[in-house]
Order: sequence, then C-alpha cells, then structure tokens
Amino acid sequence: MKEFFDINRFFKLVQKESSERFHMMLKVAAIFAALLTGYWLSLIVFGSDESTAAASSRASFIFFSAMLSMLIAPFNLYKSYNHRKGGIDYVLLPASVTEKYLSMLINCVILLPLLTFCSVLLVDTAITTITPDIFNGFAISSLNLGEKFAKGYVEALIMQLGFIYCNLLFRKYKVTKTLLSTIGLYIFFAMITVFLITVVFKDDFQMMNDMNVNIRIDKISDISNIKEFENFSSLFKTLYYTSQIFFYGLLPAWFIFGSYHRMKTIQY
Amino acid sequence: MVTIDNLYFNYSKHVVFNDVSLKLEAGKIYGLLGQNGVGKTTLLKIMCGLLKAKSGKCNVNGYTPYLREPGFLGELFYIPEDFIGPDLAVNKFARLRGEFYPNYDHNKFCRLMTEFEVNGNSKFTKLSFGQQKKAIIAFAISTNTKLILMDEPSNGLDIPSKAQLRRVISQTSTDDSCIVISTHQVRDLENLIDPIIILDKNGVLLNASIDEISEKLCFEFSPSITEKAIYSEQTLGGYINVCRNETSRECKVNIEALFNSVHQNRELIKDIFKK
Amino acid sequence: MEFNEHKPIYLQISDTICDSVLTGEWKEEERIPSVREYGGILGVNPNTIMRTYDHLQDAQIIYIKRGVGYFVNSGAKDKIISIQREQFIEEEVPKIKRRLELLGLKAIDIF
Repeated sequence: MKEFFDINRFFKLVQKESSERFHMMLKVAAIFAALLTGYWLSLIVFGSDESTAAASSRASFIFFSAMLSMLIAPFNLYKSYNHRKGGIDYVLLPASVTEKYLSMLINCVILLPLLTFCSVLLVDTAITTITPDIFNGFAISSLNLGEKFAKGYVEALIMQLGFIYCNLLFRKYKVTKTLLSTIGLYIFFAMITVFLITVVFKDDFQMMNDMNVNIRIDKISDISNIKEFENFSSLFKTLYYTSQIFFYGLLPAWFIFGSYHRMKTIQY
Repeated sequence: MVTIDNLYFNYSKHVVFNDVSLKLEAGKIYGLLGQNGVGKTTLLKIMCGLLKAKSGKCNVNGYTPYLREPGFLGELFYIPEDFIGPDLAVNKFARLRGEFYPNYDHNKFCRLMTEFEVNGNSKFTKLSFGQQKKAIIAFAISTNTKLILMDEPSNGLDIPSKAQLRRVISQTSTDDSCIVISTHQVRDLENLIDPIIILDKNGVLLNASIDEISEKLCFEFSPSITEKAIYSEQTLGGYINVCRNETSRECKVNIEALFNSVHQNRELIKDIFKK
Repeated sequence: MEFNEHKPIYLQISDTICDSVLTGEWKEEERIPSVREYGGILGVNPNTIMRTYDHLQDAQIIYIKRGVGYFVNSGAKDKIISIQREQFIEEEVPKIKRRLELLGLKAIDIF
C-alpha cells in the first residue's frame, strides 16, 4: 500500500468525509440563506415603501457568508478530530496524514464555502425574481470576481489555515481560545507596527506626511502601491518585504506544517 | 505478530509500564486481564499507535505503531471501551469506512448484523449503547484485519448479546489473525480466551496458554482448605484450592481463582511459569 | 452449554459429542461440524475444540478426511459404550461403594 499518497484512496477519503459531513454543511449554508431571507422579510414587515437592498450590498453579503462559513468550517466539521475519545476513529482510519489533511482542506476551504455561496446566491436570485422592487437587481451580476476578491480569498485562506491549526491544537474551548489568540496576535503586531512607525521610522513617516498625498492603504501590502515608495529608506523597505514574506509565506507554512505535525503525533 | 521489548510508559507522575516485554502470536485469542487502572487500555493504545511508548520498542505486524502508516492501520482494528457512533446510518458508515480496509467483506457485515439483531438502517445515535457496540464489533470483524483489539467488549451487553459475542469471536479467529480482548468480566469470556495475560502495576505477571496453566497448576474443589494450597477461595459448597500440579492431572482452569492467586502470590507464580 | 467446575472443557465437550453419537443425533459415517463451526456454535476457543477432536480421534471415535472434514467413525457407538463402561467401573463404582459404606447400606437394599 502506498504510504504517503495514493490518489484512489484520497478520492475515497474525500468522498467519505464530505458524505459524512453533508448534513452539517447544509445546515450552515441554510443558516446564511435564512439570514438573507429574514432580512428580506424584515424589509417587507418593517420597511417603508421605498426600502430596497442594493445588489452590490447583497453581493457583499454573499461573499461574507462564504468567507465566514469557511472560517468556522474546521470547528464545525472537524470538531472531534483531537477529542480523546471521538478522535480515535479519524486517527485510525487507514489513510496517510497527507491525505487526511488535504481532505480536511478541501472540505473546509472549497466545499463548505462553495455550498454556502451557491445557497445564498440561489435564495437571492429567487427573492429578486419574486420581489424585484425590494431587491434591486440580481446579485449575480454584481459579483466582482476580480483581483480584490482574489486577494480577499488568499487572506481568508491564510486565516483558515490558522484556524485549522488551532482546531487541532486546542482540545477544550476551541473557538474561544482561537479568537483570543487571533486578537492577541493582532494586538501584538499592531503594537510593533505603531512602535516602528513612531520611533524607528519617524523620518519616513514624516516624509509621508509631507507628501501631502491622499494615501489609501487598506492593507500593509498596499504600502508598495504608493508612488513615492522608492524614496523610503532601505531599512523600511527591507522590513516591509520581510513582513510580506512573513505573513504570506512563513505564517501559512507554519500553520500547514504545524497542523501536519499535530495530526501525525497527537496522542489519545 | 506483536513484539514488545522493554516498554516504558508513564502518565505524568504515574508510571504504568516499566521494562515490560511481551510477545503475541497469530492464531490466538488473548485475554488481557488486570485490575482497574493497571494499564490494559494503555497497552492496547500503544499497540495501535494512539499512544507513544516513552522508551522501548513496540512492533506490530512488522510496523512501528506510532508512525501510523496506512499499511499498518489497514491491518488492525481497535474497538474502544466506550464507542460513540457518528450521526450516520450504520450501513452507510460501514460501506464508507470499509473501503479503507483491503479485506473488508460487506456481506459478512450484514450477516453479523443479522446475528446480532441490530438494524443496519438506523443511525448510531438512535441505537442503545449495547447495540452500538455490537454494530462496531460487527464492522471490526468484517474488516478481516490481522489484529483486532477489543477493550471490554462485553461491557454493556445484555446476556443474550454476550452469548452472540462469544460465538462471533470464536468464528472470527483464524490461523493468521490475532484477537486481544481486555476484560475484567472474566465469566463472559471464560472459554474463549486462551492464552491468558495478566497485568499488574509492575508489568506482565503471566502470559500462558490454558494448557500450560493446567499443566502447572491444579484447581480443585473440595469441602475444606487444602494445606498445600497456594490460594483458596470459598465458594458454594466448599473451597476452590489452587495448588501446584504435581500429579499431571487435568482439571479445568478457573480463571477467576487463577487471577486472585496470581495477585496474592506474585513471586511464586512468576517462578512457576518461568520459561 | 453449561460447563461445570471440574473437568477440563475439552473433555466436557468430548462427553457431549459422545452423547450425541449415542443418542443417534450424530450418525456414524456422517460429517460433523468443523472445528471452527463447532467453536462458533458453542462460543468456545477453536483451539479447545481442536483438542477435543484430537482426543476423539485418538479414541478412534471420529476420523478426519483431508479436505472434507471430520466424520463419526463406524462402530463409534460401540467404542463409546465400552469406554464409558470402563470409566463407570473404574471411577464411579468405587465412589458409589464408598457412599454405601458410609451410609451403612448394602447393594441389595438399593438394587
């Protein structure tokens, strides 16, 4: 038997896991669809004659639902993986850890968000057909699957890898501990950034201020979009590129290897 | 089939195994006995890779269990003491999971489910504890793996189910499979388990077949306590006396009396059974 | 099947099989269950049944046909009767004699 990766066994595993989890995934998708329906009904019941919901905001909701379902997927679908008693089944299933991890990724990253996305989209389309005056325009046409979406998906994916890692790491109070860790890390990095900007890179920052340019920075990565980027000190640039490598390279790598290692060595 | 050498294992400060060595062979149904907390479940978990030996070697079917290689996992099945099934119909669970075991036989599974009188179309969550156990035992046996580890399989089963269990386990045993049953309900499995392994907090006290035991020890029923008895136990109408078998007479091995005598005379028993 | 405390299991099972032959339930020259089948019926370790069958083969009550199975030997009934007669005379009669003595009875009083 191939020990590391066997494509047939892998397909069987994906089939098994998605089959077992189908009801749970349906429930999550249904909740988001219900939220949209509830919003529509509240507009009917409580809204005035002119209340409408624009297609673009609904499109955002659809993306938001898919992202959120992706993030809660590990805790929802693989809750008992590291449970002392409930996890025995997973660990003793004759498949390699690589296959198990990839199957987990597929279920959490692709299948559940896709199901949620399609369900909410379907409901939206149905509602728009029924009451075109309340839901203006089909959300489908407003879906902007461009670069912005791709970047958003990548960042959600990195967070997802982190959440999968936390799901495997923590045995009790998983969601709470994960959220606290995320907040903690965020605060930590924010403090470092503030420190760097106000102390180390005072000059660069002053220069940015003097430029009198309207800078729109949504993420740290946007800093490189500023026209005068070349004028910044090389130290700043180095640190900037380091942070990019860290957040987009090292951190996800850590999550992936950490998860793999945890699955390989966890004891029951 | 299973070779354990100089095994050391502890939970924080509590040492469970200190330099324990054990060999298990194919074609046998081992009974793993021991008081509560002595490490029966721990030993089974080490054998299937759920726990890692702190030091020493454990070799099962030529594999190191803790590495959890698919080839190893496909030849072994562990039934934990309290098995809680997923929210899935039993037949569906079996079909999906059976794909991963090269020798899985679905027809055998259906036959066993019928023999156990468990409805395969209901979900695990709708079955009673005993029925869930029977279902997973049926599945385990249908995988036809070389090694089956059962942790207290008769716990939670009603009387007719225990008899069904005995018959099914007996039919399952083949010349190249090995079944290890950990239990403290000796009477449930009395005529099934052979050899007998007795564990205590210091390690393996005894690992011998029923034949060997009846060659070396005699279990006699008499109205009073025999002088030469290693151990005596009062029972209905008299006493069971356990003595050395000096006359090479054959008598039935009383496993409960054996268990008690082993615990009360550790060194003596070890001496008698030294190989 | 109830097992008592005294005789080794394999001998008790032998006795049961002999009874089956005597009553005609298992006929001579007919196939009997295999080791695994019989173990499965009783819920007993197959090795024990193996010992039983070996014992019965030694006593020439059953024989094995390679590739087919175990069969009751012809003349098994008579063999069993003679073996059990011997057993009765050597083991049980002395016990009865001792009991009669202890209770101060004579054989004529009973039979």
